[in-house]
Amino acid sequence: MIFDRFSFLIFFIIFFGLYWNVFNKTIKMQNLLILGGSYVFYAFADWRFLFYLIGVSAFNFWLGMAMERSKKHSRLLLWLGLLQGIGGLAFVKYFNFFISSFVDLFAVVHITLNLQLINIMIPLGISFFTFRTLSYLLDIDKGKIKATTDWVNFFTYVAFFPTLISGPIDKSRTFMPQLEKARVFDYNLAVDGMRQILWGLFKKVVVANNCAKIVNDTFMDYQHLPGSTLLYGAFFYAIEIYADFSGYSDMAIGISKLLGFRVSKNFDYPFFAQNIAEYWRKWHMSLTSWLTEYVFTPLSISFRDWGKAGLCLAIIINFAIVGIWHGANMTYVLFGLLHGCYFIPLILNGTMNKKKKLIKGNVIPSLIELFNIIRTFILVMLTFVVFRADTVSQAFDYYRHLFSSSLFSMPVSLNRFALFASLLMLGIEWLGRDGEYALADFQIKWTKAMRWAIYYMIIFAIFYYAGSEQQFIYFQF
Amino acid sequence: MDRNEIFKHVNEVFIDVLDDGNIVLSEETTANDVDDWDSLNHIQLVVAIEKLFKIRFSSKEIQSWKNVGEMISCIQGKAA
Amino acid sequence: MKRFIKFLLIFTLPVVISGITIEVLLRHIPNDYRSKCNYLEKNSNNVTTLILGSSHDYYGINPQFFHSKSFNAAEVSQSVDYDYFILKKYDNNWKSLKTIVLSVDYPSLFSLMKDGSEAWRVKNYNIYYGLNTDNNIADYTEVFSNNLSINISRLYQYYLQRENLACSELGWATWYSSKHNRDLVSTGKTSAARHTIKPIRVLRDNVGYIKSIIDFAKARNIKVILFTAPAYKTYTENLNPAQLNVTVNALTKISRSYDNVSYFNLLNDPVFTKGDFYDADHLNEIGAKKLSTKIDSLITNPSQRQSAIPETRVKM
Repeated sequence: MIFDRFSFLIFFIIFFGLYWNVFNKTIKMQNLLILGGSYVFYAFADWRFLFYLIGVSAFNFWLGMAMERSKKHSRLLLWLGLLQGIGGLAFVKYFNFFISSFVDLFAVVHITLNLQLINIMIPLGISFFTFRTLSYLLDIDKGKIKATTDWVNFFTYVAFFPTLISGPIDKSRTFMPQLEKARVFDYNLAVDGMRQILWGLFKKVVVANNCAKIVNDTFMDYQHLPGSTLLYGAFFYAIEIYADFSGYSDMAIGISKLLGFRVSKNFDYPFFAQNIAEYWRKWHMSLTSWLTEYVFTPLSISFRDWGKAGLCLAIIINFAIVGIWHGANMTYVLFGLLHGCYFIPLILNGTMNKKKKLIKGNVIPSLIELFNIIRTFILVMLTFVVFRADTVSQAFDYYRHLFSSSLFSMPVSLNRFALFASLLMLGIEWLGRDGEYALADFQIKWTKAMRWAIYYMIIFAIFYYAGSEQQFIYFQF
Repeated sequence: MDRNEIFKHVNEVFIDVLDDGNIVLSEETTANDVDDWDSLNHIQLVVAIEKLFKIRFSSKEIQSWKNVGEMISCIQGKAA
Repeated sequence: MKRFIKFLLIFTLPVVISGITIEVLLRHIPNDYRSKCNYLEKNSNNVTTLILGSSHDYYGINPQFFHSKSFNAAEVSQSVDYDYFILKKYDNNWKSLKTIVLSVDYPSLFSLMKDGSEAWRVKNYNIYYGLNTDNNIADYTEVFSNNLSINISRLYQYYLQRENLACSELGWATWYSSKHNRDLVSTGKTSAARHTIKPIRVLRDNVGYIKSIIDFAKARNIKVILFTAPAYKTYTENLNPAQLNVTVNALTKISRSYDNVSYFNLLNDPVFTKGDFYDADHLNEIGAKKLSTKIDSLITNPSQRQSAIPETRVKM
């Protein structure tokens, strides 16, 4: 059940009604309903892997308690948990990739290996819920939280349906405390949630879906298109992936708000970042935060004697992992490495840590801000070509065609509405950039009549453009 | 070295590394209270402090501090 | 909570009212599915020859040229499962039915209407034909089967421009006119590409539905004529030979296993020339007359059936 489908609407209306009116007598009942609802939700999406999800939850729950009970064996148990989590994820997602990379490697020296690729199905959301369980164990190990003895709470944390399939990834220490307190209905939070869902749907259905067509056509036929069109293709893909994923995240966060939960923010207007460090503080924040805490920080502490070189190494490893987390393809690894390399100038001249905040409240950015924003956007946009390509060589072929003299010829006629929708989205997000999400400050800025008029226009646009349905891009991860 | 002296030095390190002359630390200050202090530049603060006091923290210690006060106590325990 | 429910009800009221209004207006637009259903409600006990299938029959067979009382119940993209559902619906009313004519073409065995880009048509069968083909509520509404952009243009076209395409009384689609023939070369390429389906997913299901139709017919002493509709060479030369072979072989095998079934492969039938085609795989009214007459003669003169089959040589 995906958030932009009619079937989810029906599911959620029933769930919402039960949650706030029938199952709201005790905390336990609230959590049990969420757990049950989450499993129903997951079963609808893919029932075969429900057993894996439940199994993983049970195993890690037991591990947590065991780690707490026996400090002596705590490290060993942690490693067991890491093995299950990372091992399970690696096997399911990367087995065939390793095998074929292995085979390719040996082929370079003319040795043919006869290794079998096996047909493995990837459990939906595994990249996301695995990171939830891993954060739980790592936090217990570091003493940041105590293991829970309440299995309902833990299982619910792992399977929380609004964020189960594509995040945001909540660390246990920010989410579990919310499960331990009763959720009381808050009118303002609920309305805010609805507003955020509306905005997310708009980005997904109106912006992302309309860009997808151009992007698909451009990438499918790039060899015969002029460089200027390929530039558009890269631009629209950057917009598409942002609108798709941030739209999904907005919906997940909004749905969580309707249930009285505050989950992690995932996007903070990344395309307005002024350098790459800023960009990664704003893009897929829950993943970056997870990797920073559990990968980058330990690495940078271990490498601290090597000064700037140590930091560079830590960053490159960190972003190689960001890359490969997305999937089993060298294109993703290259994507990650490129971003790691983008950090090197910042590390070398010491500006990686200096936050470059935009001046608040300006309708028009300053010239310097604008220059930085565009420069950062172009750097990022170019890496999305690699991200989108099927193979590394295809990506380089695309670059070759892009940076040829045909860059200056007229582009093939493009969908004007997609351009309009993209710019409209960017404009609204720019004006709303000081808020949690683009429409967050709506109540303050506009009168009720204006707000409702805009809401209806958005709803109209959503229904108008619905149906050219592309699956959420981040589902495959 | 007494606690106040350590405090002063640490405050200077923060001002220097985070390039912000307005930083004033207290015992309870956490990363949430200082605008530019996040895990990305945490390590640079640690390195600068280690260099200044000629001490060495273990990675467990580094990740255990919940606020500036705890950091100072850790330094106090190590500095002569 | 009460305040929130109140807010929701007030806020969504205009949306719901608009939705219902559009739904009602859309349902009032005359359409082929309703007219065919109405015809069959009244006349299924008189129909002697029933034509089922997809657009190749819908445009290609004009019952006017049949000697028997015939009806064309084919529709665009109608896959064999829906052919079967329609047949089954009038179950014991087929008192006069002697022959079923069904075209099974290059894409037919490898796709189901409800799975592809034409899935939005499911609502036509649920709403207007009264068939209950699935459990998805959205498929019982007009507003959730197409987006607002399409629905608004439908409303505009009917209510403001007063345009509506309607098939003939006997179910034949009249608007693929020879006056507006399209370019055969380009449509050949695009249609062939669209109809070439890579994985062989639903072959078994489709064969199953065809057999269900045959069994239904056999139990009532009805003959079944399967045929693969004629197409122009700019289409046939772009077809994937494997997909075509599987189709022809499956149909030949079926016709040999049942004594009430005959199969005719008219894909490359030289009788049909350039002027008979509206586009590379659909006949215009001239071609429809030819095909209808031919099929009719196959029904009325069974002895001619052998000589009517052209060489089924498939290009490698």
